[in-house]
Amino acid sequence: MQPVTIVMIEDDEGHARLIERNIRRAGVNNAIVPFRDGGSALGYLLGPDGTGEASAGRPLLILLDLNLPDMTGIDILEKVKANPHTRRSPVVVLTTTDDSQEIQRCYDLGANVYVTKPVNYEGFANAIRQLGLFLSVMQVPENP
Amino acid sequence: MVHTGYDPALVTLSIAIAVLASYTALELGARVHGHVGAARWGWVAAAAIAMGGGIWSMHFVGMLAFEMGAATTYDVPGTLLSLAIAVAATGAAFAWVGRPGARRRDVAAGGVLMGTGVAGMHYAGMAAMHLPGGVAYSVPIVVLSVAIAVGAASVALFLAFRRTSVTQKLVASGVMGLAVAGMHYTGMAAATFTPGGHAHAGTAGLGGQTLALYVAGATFVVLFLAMLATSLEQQRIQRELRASEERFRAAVQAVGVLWTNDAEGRMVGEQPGWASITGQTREEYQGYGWADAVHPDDAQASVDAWNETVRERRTFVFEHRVRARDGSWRHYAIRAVPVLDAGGAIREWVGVHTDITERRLAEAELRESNEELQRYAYIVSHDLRAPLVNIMGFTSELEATRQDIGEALRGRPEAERIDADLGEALGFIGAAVTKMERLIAAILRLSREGRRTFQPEPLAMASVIQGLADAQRHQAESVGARVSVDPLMPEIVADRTAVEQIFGNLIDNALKYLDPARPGQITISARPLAGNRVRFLVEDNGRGIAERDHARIFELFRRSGVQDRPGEGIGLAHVKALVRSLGGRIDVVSELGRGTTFGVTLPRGTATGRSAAPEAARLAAE
Repeated sequence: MQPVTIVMIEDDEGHARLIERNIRRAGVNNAIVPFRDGGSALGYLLGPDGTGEASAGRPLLILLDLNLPDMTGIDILEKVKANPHTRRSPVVVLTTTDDSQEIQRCYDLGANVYVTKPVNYEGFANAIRQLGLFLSVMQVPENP
Repeated sequence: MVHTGYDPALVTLSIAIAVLASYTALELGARVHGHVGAARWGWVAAAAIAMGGGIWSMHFVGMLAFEMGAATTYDVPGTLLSLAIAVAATGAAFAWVGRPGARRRDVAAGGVLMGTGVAGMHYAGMAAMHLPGGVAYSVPIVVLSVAIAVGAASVALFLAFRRTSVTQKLVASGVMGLAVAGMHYTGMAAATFTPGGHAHAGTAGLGGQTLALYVAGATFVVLFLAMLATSLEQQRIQRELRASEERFRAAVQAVGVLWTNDAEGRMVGEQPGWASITGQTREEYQGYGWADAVHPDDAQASVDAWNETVRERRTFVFEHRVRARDGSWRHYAIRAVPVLDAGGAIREWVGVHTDITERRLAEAELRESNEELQRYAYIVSHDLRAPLVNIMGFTSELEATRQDIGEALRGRPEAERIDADLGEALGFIGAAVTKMERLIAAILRLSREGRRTFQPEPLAMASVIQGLADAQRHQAESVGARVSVDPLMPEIVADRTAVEQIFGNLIDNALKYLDPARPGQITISARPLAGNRVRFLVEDNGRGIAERDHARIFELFRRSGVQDRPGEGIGLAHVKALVRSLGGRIDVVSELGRGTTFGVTLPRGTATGRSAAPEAARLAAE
């Protein structure tokens, strides 16, 4: 079975670094592919042709920030969950927004987990580490 | 038998005097009705003098026209008595007919009074004449003369006291003149003069011709002056009428576009106001054609509201858009009042359209900029949080690094100092970030409150506030305070959550800032205000707020007095924002060391703009 690749879509370099550090601290050694904008992330996920066949057969886990410079994370979530090749990939929404309507919308669109980035670093680090722990036990299916 | 005859010119003059005096007297007498008090008696007196004087004058000119071929003199007291009879009798007649509440049959009584006066004057005047011979009267003709006077006077009064045209007035004065002159000449026909000795000429009387000429002249002057007074009065009334018409026209221009509808809402006749705003021709707006100029989206609501108003027979208050001449839509506020007929049924509607387009635009702009501000606050508070996550995150990373440094420097003399410096710096950064996070969270909360859609519902305020007080009972008891809520509070229509937050915050503040020197007493009461508003008072006997802080306490993150209680300085800013959103206002009266009273004035109904159903608010009745 192919190892899971973590796709991290996060425009804030600092956040990306902190997330990565804490995932590593949790003992997760999977490859992390970072993207700082929506366009390039979609290019990777759905391939240059946009069909999603690029992701066929590879297990992916997506860490998604909602505030991106070129589009909102919601747009990416919609496309990923609408594409037959990527829709089985778990999506973890990681964002500063704790607006209840936005959380609901994300779940409605098929997000698997919604994590608010707490300013309190202990909380944030804990959340990420637990996420890492979660990743180490969860089964990520291969995309069809 | 004395040879007698009439001078036709003088007869004509006498009739002319009678008619002119009648016209003047009836004209004056008709004014008795419209006046009260002294003015009323003034008009009665003027009418009586004109009529009585006229009758008297006619009599003397008539006597002058009568050629008896013998010198005639008059007895002065008797002559004056005859004048007094005429004036008194006609005055009584005018007063009777013109009194408030006079009926139709009172005209008959007035006619009898006046006719008797005319006849009385004539025979008293005859008695005051010194004739060289004797006079004998034929009783049936005397009776006839009195009957003519009474009958014609009644008809004249009847005509004169109806709301009459000039022609009818002329006819009335003709009839009255006939009563006077007819009576006189009939009365003269009843008399048979027999020659006697010489007249006592020049002994105790005045010469007939001279007297008659004086009298006729004086009469004309009196009548002329009376007519002048009447016409001046008439002018004054017309001036007032014109002024009131102009006032009305100005009022119409000032309030907007005036129109009238029949009971069923059809436009009838010329509607210049409506035509000027819509450009519709009379053919176009007639009947229900006016509805074509109302915006199609508003038409059904307008008709529904109209039908409801007609059913409830109240003032029609509404807003809708109307197509202007240039095809653009303009917002109008409409107010229409039913005009009832004597039976209480609606005869027609008089309404005013007031152009409120500018106001609507300004409101929309204000709403937009307010929404923009709230969006802005929302975005800013979100975007400010992202860098905070980094600052906090890497500060914690540094904390970890600090331990690594400590390990690396172990045993070195400067190790402790470096560790202390790092610890201090990291501590300050951490505290600052925590505080900033709290403030951003507060802005976020306020902006969320601002974006929330209000759901107005009827609130029995006494139970709502009692509920809040009960929820705080534990807190109140722990500080030994009493919260009393006036059970007689009016109901208002507003968003429950907003109202609970407003009063919850105020009660919480009152409990938080009590004066330990005395047991806390918090009272919440309400009283209705003009303009359909209610003023709520939250009074406490706590520590009070210094005068200079009265405005500051409503600002975000500002607090007053000794900072010995937890809090961010958000509560009152939040309360103020909520009160304003509900269309109310808040103020504070406080004295340091005495206590504080917060006054919250809220509308009884819903505030427009923020309500969940703006349509419903727009249709709200008076």
